[in-house]
Amino acid sequence: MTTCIVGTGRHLPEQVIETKDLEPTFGTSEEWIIKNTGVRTRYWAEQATATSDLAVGAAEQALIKSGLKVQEIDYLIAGTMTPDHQVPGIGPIIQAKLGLRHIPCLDIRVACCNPLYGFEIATALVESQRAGHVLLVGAEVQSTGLKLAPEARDVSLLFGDGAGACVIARRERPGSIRLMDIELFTDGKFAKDLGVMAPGTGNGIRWFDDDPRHRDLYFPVMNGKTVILHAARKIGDAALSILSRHDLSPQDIHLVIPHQANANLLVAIARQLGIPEEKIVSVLEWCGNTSSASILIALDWAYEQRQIRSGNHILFLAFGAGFAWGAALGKVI
Amino acid sequence: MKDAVEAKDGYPFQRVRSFLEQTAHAQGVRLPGDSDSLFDNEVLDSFGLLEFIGFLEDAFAIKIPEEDLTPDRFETIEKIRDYLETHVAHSS
Repeated sequence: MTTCIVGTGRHLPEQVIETKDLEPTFGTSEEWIIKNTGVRTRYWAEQATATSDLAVGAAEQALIKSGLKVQEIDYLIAGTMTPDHQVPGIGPIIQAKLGLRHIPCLDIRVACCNPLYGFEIATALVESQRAGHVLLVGAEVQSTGLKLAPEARDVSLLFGDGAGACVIARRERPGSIRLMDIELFTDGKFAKDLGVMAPGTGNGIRWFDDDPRHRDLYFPVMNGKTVILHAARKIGDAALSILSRHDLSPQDIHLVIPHQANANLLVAIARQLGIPEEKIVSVLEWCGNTSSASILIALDWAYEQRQIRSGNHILFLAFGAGFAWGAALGKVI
Repeated sequence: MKDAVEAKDGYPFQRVRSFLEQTAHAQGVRLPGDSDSLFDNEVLDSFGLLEFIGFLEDAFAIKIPEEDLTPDRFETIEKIRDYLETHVAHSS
């Protein structure tokens, strides 16, 4: 028996934001936005929606699809950059809203790499028999933290809100994905090239600061050129590394499920690996970059589209703030 | 004046310039002077820079090391030429 993803789910807010509707806010054209981001629509939650609300919706679906009851979950891993509150994390809030038992609930903060870190932690918990059924959720409400102004178009136009979830367990059944291997990497010297700097203790200012000169610290920042150069290189190298550990080549992979950063990066991944773009699962066009949730949303979507087929090798790839990056290799039972 | 890179190593820096000219044309802009920013003059955006790095690696059979993957190194034609003079010349 091996560790498998046995059920997936996703939940998106109701409000769809068309790219065309953002033209006046960002002072650019629909054509420019689509060319530079690949995003045609994204979901932005109503202001009253908390990240945990979306997370619970995705988790409920994952539970149904895995055929498990709430009481059978014995560990929760929740990944987000946009928690309901600074403290506590969203783990306890999801636990209460879902009605989980008094189990350990862990928040992780590796941004777009959260799903891969979640896979790794869940696998370790299951294989060490510390847990039988781990619920992994990635969720974000990013829209209420975005700068809505022309100078922020390179960043703000990418992001959407949403949640994805999966259950990881030592249980094989047809259609589940056996997690064969995971490789994770970090290079913290790029910490300020991608992230949200405030609130925090590293800015030389008070945690909450009313000074208008510091306002931009509270918005996402991205040094786009540095990010894409490193993302393409590091993701490609991580993919080849994990494949070589299993005597596989990119051509042996049936489906790649990458973090949905932007369309250009998805194209670059296909080129780096020398595989057709059709092998890359993309939900970016209709739900944008949902950071912690994106791989899990894409995985659930791929199941729904019947792209996950028995015997196939699946490669998960992520790159995000830190920089943190990595790859996970799975095989469909 | 002939490019130093061409003179010294005989490798075709003109290929680099042609690539950038084609990119500029596709972006609807003119290729700026050798010391002017290719970014500020909208020749290379993020993806354009990524493609350009891929072009350099293919054209000169090099792998640009991770520590050199900084946009600043490739911001102007002058800087690109300097980089190639050092790295392609030494690696060939």
